[in-house]
Amino acid sequence: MRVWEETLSVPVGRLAALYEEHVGRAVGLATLLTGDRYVAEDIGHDAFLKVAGRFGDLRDPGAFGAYLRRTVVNMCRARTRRLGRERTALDRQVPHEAVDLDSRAEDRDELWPAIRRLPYRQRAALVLRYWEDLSEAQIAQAMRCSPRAVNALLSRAMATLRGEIRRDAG
Amino acid sequence: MNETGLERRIQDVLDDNAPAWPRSMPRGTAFKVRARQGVTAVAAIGVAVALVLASIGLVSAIPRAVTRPADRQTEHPPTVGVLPSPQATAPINDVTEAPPAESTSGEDTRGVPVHSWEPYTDQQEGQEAYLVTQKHVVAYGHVKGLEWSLAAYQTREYAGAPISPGHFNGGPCGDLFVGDMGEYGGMTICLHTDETASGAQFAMAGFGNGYVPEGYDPEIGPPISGYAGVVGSEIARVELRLADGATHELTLYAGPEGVDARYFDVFVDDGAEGTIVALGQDGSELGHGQLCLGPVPHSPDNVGCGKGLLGLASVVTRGG
Repeated sequence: MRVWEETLSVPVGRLAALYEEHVGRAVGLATLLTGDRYVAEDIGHDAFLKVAGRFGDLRDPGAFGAYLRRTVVNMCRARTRRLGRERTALDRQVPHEAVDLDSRAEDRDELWPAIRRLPYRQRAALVLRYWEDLSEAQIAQAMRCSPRAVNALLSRAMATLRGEIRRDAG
Repeated sequence: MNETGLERRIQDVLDDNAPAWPRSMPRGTAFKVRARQGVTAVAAIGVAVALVLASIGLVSAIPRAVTRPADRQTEHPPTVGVLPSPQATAPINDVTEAPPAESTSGEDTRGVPVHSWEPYTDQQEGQEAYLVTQKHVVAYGHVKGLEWSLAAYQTREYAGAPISPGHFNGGPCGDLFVGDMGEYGGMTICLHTDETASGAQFAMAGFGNGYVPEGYDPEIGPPISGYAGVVGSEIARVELRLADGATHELTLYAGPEGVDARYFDVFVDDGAEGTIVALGQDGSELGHGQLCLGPVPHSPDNVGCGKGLLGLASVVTRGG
């Protein structure tokens, strides 16, 4: 049976090497996308389990990092969506008290809170471009959208950040 | 600060905030991977078997499909559903009626569709607790350049949980979402809510998204004002009657199998005033609702209104 043979053919040593090579970067990416180091560690680890779990089904096992990156982006997006939904449900049930999410982060630069306030897709495009150093085509693949959409997301993100800097300077 | 300077500063900030994580693989990870590989292999075999069985079923069903009654066949795509904009630059608006579902029972195991060419449906963890049918897209299109989708489904009574849209009374419900991945948020509507009668024939709600990032062209994208509703079998047609006297008959989309209701939606200009009226066979009014959104505030928090509103999903803006 081809499926069984391929999916069970990754030795433990190779798994460990894949883990050490890719998961640290995945956790970094998840941290930048979620803003939460501990959640990011869970996402990085779970994403590895997911992708390694279907290693035999990958069209290009050599592109493990790209598959992992795309999975991390999707999992962070799902978490952000869920948080938005939970917040909406709680807002309907209890009186709202403002919570400064940014106060938990170390604000080494006023730009970081501004990046965290970007809509998720703009933030993801920005992080993939400037931290992962990906091309627009690679970002489009990771975010499953068109390169044109990536270009628009990056333009909007940069416009917003420029506005924030101008406001701070003013 | 010039463009290069800003890009450099973004790189520095991201580098500063991304943690180093030099950790070796925890014990037990290999076992978990093996377990997942086993599940994947079993699932692949299951899918292969299901495909074979489905192929056999399809071949045997072809003669029946030819003689299906006319009311089950796909209707022509409607031409009404999105109002023309009075603004000078015509936004990209269209609407398409989705084909009827072939099978609607059970849970949709595909998860959240993320392909931008596939209409979005909002899948939630634990939704099988209140879903009687799958969420089936009955119409989709574009408004101001953004994708939208209207999904229909049947629900059972469910007390709700913090992450679900709310308390389901059972009956036909639907989701209107904006964005190719629902990222602009949306709303859940139901025919039977705490604010409608148990025998209600008409329920509607409004959904507004007004988040316009600085420097963003408002001609494409938010603010968006949309209304959607569910009607029962006694309703013959639904009209949008604007305050300026204009009247538009709204397209009613049939629910999929197992959902005895029809759905409508319409996007209007920001702050539009008027009424949506449901009419019976004899032209008598059987229900109505005001366009209740008003001007949509420029805020990441979406707004919703109307007696048919069960839940509201906010635009995705803030991280953890």
